[in-house]
Amino acid sequence: MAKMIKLVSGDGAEFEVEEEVAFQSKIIKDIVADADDVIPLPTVSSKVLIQVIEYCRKHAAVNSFPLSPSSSAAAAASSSSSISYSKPVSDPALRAWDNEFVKLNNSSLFDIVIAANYLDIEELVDLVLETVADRIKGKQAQEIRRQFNIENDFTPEEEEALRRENSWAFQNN
Amino acid sequence: MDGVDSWQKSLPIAYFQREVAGFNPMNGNGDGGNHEEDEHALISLDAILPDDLLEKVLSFLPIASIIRSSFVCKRWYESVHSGRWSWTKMLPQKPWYFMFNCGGDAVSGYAYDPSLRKWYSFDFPCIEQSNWLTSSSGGLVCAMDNEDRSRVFVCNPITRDWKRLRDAPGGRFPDYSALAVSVDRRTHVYTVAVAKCKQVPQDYYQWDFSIHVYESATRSWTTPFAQVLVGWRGSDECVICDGVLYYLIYSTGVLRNMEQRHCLVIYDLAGQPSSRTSLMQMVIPVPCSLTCGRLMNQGGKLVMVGGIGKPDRPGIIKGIGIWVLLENKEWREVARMPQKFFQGFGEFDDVFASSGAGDVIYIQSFGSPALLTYDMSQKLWKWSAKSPVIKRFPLQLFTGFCFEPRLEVAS
Repeated sequence: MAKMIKLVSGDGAEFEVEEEVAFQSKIIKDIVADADDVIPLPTVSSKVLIQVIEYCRKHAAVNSFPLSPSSSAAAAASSSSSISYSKPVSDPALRAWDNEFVKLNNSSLFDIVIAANYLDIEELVDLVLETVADRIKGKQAQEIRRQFNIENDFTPEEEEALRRENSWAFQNN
Repeated sequence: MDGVDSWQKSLPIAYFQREVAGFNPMNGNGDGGNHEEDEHALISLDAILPDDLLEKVLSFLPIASIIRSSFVCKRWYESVHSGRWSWTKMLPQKPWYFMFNCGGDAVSGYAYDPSLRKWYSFDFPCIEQSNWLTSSSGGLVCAMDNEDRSRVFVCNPITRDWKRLRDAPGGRFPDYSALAVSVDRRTHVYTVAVAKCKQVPQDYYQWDFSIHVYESATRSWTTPFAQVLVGWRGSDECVICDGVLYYLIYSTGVLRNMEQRHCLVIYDLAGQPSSRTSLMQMVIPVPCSLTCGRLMNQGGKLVMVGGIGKPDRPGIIKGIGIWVLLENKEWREVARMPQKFFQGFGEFDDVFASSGAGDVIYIQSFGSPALLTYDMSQKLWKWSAKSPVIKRFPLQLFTGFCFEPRLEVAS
């Protein structure tokens, strides 16, 4: 039976996951190396943790070789290919799954990326940030503000100066 | 808490989002794609994202979107202009193409952004006339006054930062001048090379030739090479690739019936061969009879886009080819413009505009505002989005050049 790690969310819910799933997070991998199997994550809510676990489970299943830590001596002993956690997703089916996974509103996406950043799950951080970038691409500043609920704190004079210096960027065509 | 173990893996996410009181009770919407703003969000989502993640988001954007992001709020402006950008951080940007009318006094035209496939009305901060020589590299554009060839400027077209360099030596009114700039992507130090060529008075086939080099680190010019050429003259075509200056020269055809109209000078800027070495010892032939050749640095390799002509009738262009210069100084043809694109320009003169950077090459006929791109990695020919530049009268001419849009390089 695979070794289980217990993750405890900020609101006290406990989630048991297989080691290889939890190890998608570099932080968790380091903590467990210090022989600690119960990992409190006070800054991560259950809702977000479930989503992160779902991502890790899917990505661990795809990387279904025995895992070897990328920089330890065990990697030399292992005969199978060592898995790099930050390699780009080349499998089209997995990429399609990722695209579905990030069909969330901005608020949920931001929660996930904060948690993934804290847990050091590089692929998930990149995935969410690329999704956010896609929602910015091609838009004018006003649309970006509306999209992400950001206040415009430039004075009218400052905006006018920006417009003068970068008139090409303000064109809508 | 008991019971939350293996069974929970088999239930859909939505189940838990109803049951669990999360930190964002209003935002329990995880099902289905939704790109619209969450109307109930009470706080700015920008407040949640730390600086390093914000910068990472911006680094995924094409440059036009990075610039527009800097207008969103002061924090985003700081993030864009923080000076923490480096070449490695920002995604490589496809070069833009700036197209403008020949003959106008003010130089304004349109810049093509291939990432978003948009044209922007654009002007350059320091180019005063449309006949100025230009060269670009690593985000900077270098321009030389055609009427006074000691005046040289360097600018970053995106940040609008520009500077006039110390006057270039070699005379203000040479017959031919060529200009090349090269930016070190890591240090942002740049080199400008100017090749000047002037007919020796009272001697048709002797030409005074000199190479002048400017280093931004020392802000000064040197003249490492000066020599009299016999039977050959300079052109306005040169480029710097990996520390080597490549320069097209033309046969004056006076001495004997020459086989080739052009050849390519290979001058090592680092090695600085002395003026005692004949320039003609540093030349290689061009791959075939050309009506004209355009030189460019594509990712460190020398590439030439050439009009293919007939040896006996050099003024007639029958096609356009693209060659790469290999390490052994041989040319390898990498592409030939398909007939349908060649015909798509309408009439093609023997000379045309072409420039490129990275994997992208642009080709434009002087008589038409149509713009063709060739992607060297995908081996793909493609028209740009239709240019807003309009041909208003039959003899109107257009020209242009490309530049990489970068934020982090200053003049």
